[in-house]
Amino acid sequence: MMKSAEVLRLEQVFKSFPATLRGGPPIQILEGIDLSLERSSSIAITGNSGSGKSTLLQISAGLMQCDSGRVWFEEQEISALGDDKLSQLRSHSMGFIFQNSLLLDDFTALENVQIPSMIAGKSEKQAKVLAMEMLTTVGMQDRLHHTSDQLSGGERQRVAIARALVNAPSVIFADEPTGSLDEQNASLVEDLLFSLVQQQQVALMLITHNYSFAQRCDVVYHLHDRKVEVSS
Amino acid sequence: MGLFLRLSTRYAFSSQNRHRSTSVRIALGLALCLFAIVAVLSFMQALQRNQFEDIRTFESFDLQVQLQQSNLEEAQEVAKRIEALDSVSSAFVYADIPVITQAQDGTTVAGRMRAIEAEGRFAEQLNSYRGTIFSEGKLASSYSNSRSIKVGDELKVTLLRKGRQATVIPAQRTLEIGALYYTTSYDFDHTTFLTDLPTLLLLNPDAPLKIGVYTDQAVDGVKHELMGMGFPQASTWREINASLYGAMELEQKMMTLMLFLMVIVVLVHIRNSSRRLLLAKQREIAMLRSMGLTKGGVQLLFVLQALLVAAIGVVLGSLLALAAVALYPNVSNFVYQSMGVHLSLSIRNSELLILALSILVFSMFAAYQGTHRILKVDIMEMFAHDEVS
Repeated sequence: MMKSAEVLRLEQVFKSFPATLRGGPPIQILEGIDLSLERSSSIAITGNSGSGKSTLLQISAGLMQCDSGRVWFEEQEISALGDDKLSQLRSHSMGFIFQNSLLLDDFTALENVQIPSMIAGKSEKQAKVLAMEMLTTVGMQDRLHHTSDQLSGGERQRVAIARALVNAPSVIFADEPTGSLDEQNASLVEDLLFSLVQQQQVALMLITHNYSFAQRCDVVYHLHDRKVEVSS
Repeated sequence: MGLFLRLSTRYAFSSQNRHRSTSVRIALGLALCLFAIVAVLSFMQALQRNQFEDIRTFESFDLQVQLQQSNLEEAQEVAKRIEALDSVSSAFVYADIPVITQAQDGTTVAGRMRAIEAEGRFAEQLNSYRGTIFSEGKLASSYSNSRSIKVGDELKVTLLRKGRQATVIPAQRTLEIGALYYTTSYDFDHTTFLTDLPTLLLLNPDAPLKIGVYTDQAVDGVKHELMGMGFPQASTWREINASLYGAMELEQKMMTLMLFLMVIVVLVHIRNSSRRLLLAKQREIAMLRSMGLTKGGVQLLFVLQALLVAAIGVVLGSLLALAAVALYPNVSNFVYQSMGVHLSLSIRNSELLILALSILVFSMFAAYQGTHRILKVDIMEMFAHDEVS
């Protein structure tokens, strides 16, 4: 069960992937992971490439199923939820920022931020107002009608942040949000992300291999040898 | 619903859509397939209709009544009685006798001599090329034989008798060609020499007389009416040409089979295109799912998109087909030159509707099935798949 302050909790989560060679043993990625995230707090998961950081985030957000263990999100065990409930949870309570600033390429920046609100049940007009506000907050008010390919990497990531926050979620899942940006843009995106997370009192689960970025979180976990440990 | 319509129209044809060309290709493919099916269907139906029309106009008429005697006046009396029926457009006396003719250059034709009181459709559709058809004591030959038989030529006509045995030596006469005619039926033209009834009865007084009947109503009903009047030997054009009608029915079945195969090709095209489009949109689907769109929502979105693309294809295909039929009269001469038939094309609305509905329903089904398959995997796998592809 979850404590009242917790928004996300993982209990004894195991995950393996099929062997790359036929007949080989499955590759164990996560082994008995216990983790929790409190409301309005932030945790960072660091680790080497291929250590399973992204897998851990995806399992936490219900984007991937674990082999065994339990994942609790807002007092609901998400591994037991049906598609409709899980989708509803993603829509209202989760926001995602991916490394490659995955935007809907056929849509403008404004539409990219507007669509999640419409999925959450807001009218087109309401969603548009919210999206414009959010894009103004991230400094993209002059690029509302630009499509993904007309934006720089930093701008795309700012749109992705606006999109993740537009439905006022309780947790933001950020997977290497600055991983593909240059130092200057990475720094800008970092600042923006942390200021908005604090301002909107949203919990943050951050995956990064950038230790200084991770240090800005309340707790830093290090994923090593399939297990997490609190980093010193 | 507004969201789904917005997303589906964007994914279908918007200029901002990166896969717009795929949608355009699908819609064009559907349009061309629909056009091809409708064009083939209307051509084949027109050919068949044309052939049936020729048979009913020239060959055996809508119905015919075999008379027991060869008295022309009595036969004419019977024709008048039949023509008085409301269901009959016209009735007339005629007779056919088998002949072998020999032209002056030695060319022979095994055919028939038909004497007829040309009325109704027969007279309307008969075209005179030279001379006066049905001149007493003269024959009219067809234009299709004009290479060897010309107006003014003397034609040797050998009169044959129907049946298993000729009890007398065949009579041979020489008759002058008084006219050339042609009809739209090459088979009829090639084997038929026309004359008037007195001339034919002079050559063969025992020639069996018949009454030809044209009607605008169902032939079976008219046949029963005639039988009720005391003509048990009344037969419809279908009965008289049973073997030909059977062959044409077989042809129609083969045509249906061929069109069925064409429809299958269209359906396979729809399925493959739909899968291609969905695979290209896999990353988009994963993103929408991560934003909270349900599996049902994704399916609705892509079913709507497929419906939109298919609807545009169907409308385009139907317009192409209708335009082709409307413009066909302008090129019908080329068809006549190569095929020798004047066709009047038409599209049956019910068939077009069935085809269009089939395409729309199958497009929706293919999109539903395609998304169902894609949605089986984890969201993150969808992201990864797109990166690989």
